[in-house]
Amino acid sequence: MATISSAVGEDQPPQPSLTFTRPVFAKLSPHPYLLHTLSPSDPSVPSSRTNGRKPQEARKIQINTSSLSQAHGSALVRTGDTTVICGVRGEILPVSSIPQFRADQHKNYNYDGEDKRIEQGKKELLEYDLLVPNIELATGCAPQFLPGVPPTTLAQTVSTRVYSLLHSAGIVDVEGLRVWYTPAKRDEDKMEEDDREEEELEPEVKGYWVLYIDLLFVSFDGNPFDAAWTAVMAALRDTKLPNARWDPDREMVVCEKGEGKRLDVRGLPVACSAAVFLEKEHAEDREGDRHWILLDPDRQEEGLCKEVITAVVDCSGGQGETKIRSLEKQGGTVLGRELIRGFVGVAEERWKEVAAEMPQ
Amino acid sequence: MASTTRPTLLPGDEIPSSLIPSHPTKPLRLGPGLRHLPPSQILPTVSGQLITLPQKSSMWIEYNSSRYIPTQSDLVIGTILRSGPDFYYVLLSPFTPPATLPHLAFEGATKKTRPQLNPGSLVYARVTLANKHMDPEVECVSATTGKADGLGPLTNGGMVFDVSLGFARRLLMAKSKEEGKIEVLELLGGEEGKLSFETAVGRNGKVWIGSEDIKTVVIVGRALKETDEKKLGVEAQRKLVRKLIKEMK
Amino acid sequence: MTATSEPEAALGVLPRADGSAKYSHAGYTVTAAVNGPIEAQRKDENPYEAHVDVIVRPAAGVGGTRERHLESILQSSLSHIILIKNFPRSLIQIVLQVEDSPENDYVNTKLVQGNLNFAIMPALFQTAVLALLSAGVPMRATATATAVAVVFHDGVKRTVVDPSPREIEIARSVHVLAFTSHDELLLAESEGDFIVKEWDEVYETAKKICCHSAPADDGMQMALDEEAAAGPDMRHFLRSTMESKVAADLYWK
Repeated sequence: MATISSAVGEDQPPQPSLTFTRPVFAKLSPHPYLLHTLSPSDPSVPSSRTNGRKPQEARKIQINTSSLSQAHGSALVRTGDTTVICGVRGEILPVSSIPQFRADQHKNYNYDGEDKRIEQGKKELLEYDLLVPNIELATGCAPQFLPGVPPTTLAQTVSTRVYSLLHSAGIVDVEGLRVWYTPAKRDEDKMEEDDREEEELEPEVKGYWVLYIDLLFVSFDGNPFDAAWTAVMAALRDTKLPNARWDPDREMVVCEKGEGKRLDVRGLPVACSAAVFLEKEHAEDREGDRHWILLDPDRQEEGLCKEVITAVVDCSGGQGETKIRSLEKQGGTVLGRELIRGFVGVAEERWKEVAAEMPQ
Repeated sequence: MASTTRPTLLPGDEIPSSLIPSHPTKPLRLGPGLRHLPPSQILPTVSGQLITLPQKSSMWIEYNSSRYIPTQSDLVIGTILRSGPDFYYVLLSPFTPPATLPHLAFEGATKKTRPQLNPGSLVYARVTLANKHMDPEVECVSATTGKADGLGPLTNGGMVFDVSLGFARRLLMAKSKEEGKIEVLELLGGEEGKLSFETAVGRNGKVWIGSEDIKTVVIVGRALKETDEKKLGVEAQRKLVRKLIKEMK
Repeated sequence: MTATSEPEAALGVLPRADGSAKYSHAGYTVTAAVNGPIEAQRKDENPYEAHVDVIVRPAAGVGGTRERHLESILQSSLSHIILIKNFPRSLIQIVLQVEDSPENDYVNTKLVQGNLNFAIMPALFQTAVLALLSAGVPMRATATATAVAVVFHDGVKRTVVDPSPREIEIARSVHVLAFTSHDELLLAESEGDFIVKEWDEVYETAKKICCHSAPADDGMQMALDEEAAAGPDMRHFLRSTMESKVAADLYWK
């Protein structure tokens, strides 16, 4: 079905025939090949993609956490041939080295409402740059990544999207990153006296944990953002920061040995991407032309599609409507309002799959 | 001028079907700025004024731009970049792939008598091949008659001035004074200026002015550029010419 | 606040470029230069279509990862409306220089490198479209863009068009949408915390701004009272800007 045979003379059987195997055909002309498998001439054959998946079938996801011993939290995520490893490492940032630090800012722990507190926390994370993601598409993870060149546009784009989503979705509670210190009373053995004096000695923030979130693509086969974001989420949920306290005598933050406390991670947003495959490769697309929405595209499919969509949804709130954290669609006009609405439903299904794999 | 018959269109706008010429015998001809989407949709691709000629069954978009896109049988002024074994490489507009000009595409040219053109020399040529998948080709001789018809190397002094593509089209009109509303050249060469010069206008937004006298070249060039850039009307052009002549004397 | 001001544009501001435009709206001023189709570098050459190269230069400093991301968003959207198949192996270059962005009157104006700047996207997009039109680059359609924020203030939900930096900071969600002149959704970027129903409302608001054009014949009878509340009529703005440009070019007709 998916072969091209040449008109070889009838009586010369040993001639090397010009019949291509499926992989060769797929490599030579990927667009017609994918179109052919998506719309088989035999109606009994189900529509499928070159990689054997159905159009709206994502690759199975595998998550492995705590695989790096030196990091405070880590995760290895694999979907098909896209493998990404994420390591989270905390470093102490004393407030004395934050030039624009404002001591009064976080002192609203008599906050009026949870929303306001979250809003305040988001701003603190952003202003002091407490979350630092970095993405590297390693040499050799796919043929297009060469050694010794500056970060590709793809790496920079994914990095910006991860950074942006980390902050806008408010994953990390800033409270978990603060290092508090309650000044002890100078006067000897008057530690716990009457309430009036305690009030004067308010606890203050002496430092912050800065989380360096490093992502490395070990192998790359399309859909980098979904894999990267899943890895970030898994690694943050795995992160345990050591107990840190301010030592007033040495005027520095000291950490205790041992496991430490698990980082407080809010919600579980899951990214779900798809690409739109058009019937015509080089002619202009017009109304009435067929198109397919390919969920979780691989590298070859990404090369054939221009319009892409990513929805980040969070169904962890239990009942009620799905929260959308981010929606990005660009590169074409196929996906209109109805298709995007429908895609959110697809993303919800994907959320269930990923959430089931996510270690508790 | 009724604005309803000559509407200003933006890319992708629908063209009222009443404006599309329907000639009983002649097929519809689409000019620049329009594209045909089978079966029967015609869409503008640039923003400009829709001009239709029902008698000739043709329509196009009149607009002004500055980047020349080669089109078959356009007259252009090119700069020789270098010479290959069989072709000259000619630059029609900056930063575009050069057009090819065969060594023998000149009037009466043979292997022995072909003109020797150095890099930087100018030629007045006609586009013979304009295809998006190939680099353009130009010639300086009519393939059917074998005559130059005014084409060929632009020698004996002179200078090239850059103008906008719309202005070049106006200069190339058969009646550039009546239809294109450009009078500067006639005024400078006529009673008013009594200057003697020759011109060649390229569709690619280039005007060559040739004269024995450098001063004349500069004055004519300045007059043309100013008319184009400042969008001068007929009256303003007369004023400009008077001013320039006065300055020269 | 500056957010309610009408958009302004000037075309052909850079005489050396093939096309250029200066656009200011909602506190942002952007200048764009378009050159093309010109010869592409060997690595960018595509045998079937033109390569669209978008370069975003911030108001201060050099571009970083955020600008790369903006560039890639603009590039994929603009490639769709330019007839890139008409110019194989060539390059269409669009340079966008941010000249002015609204002062953040609330927080310290620290240059946050990584964070995506939603509010600037419509200004960049609109300037690029205007410059492309000014250059006469053949296009499939024109396009308009807008930014919308959903703000909860004292428990009341409000939809804000062209939000100021302060409004973006307190917004529950921020959205940027662009529509082609055929009313198709070309670009949709949203961030924050929202549900499908809210996105629908945002879609309606944005579509009204981007696609609602005053009828050409009786422009005088535009429902002014309603317009003022809903935000600028971007398509009408684009059309009138281009009409005056064409009229100026064809003054001799």
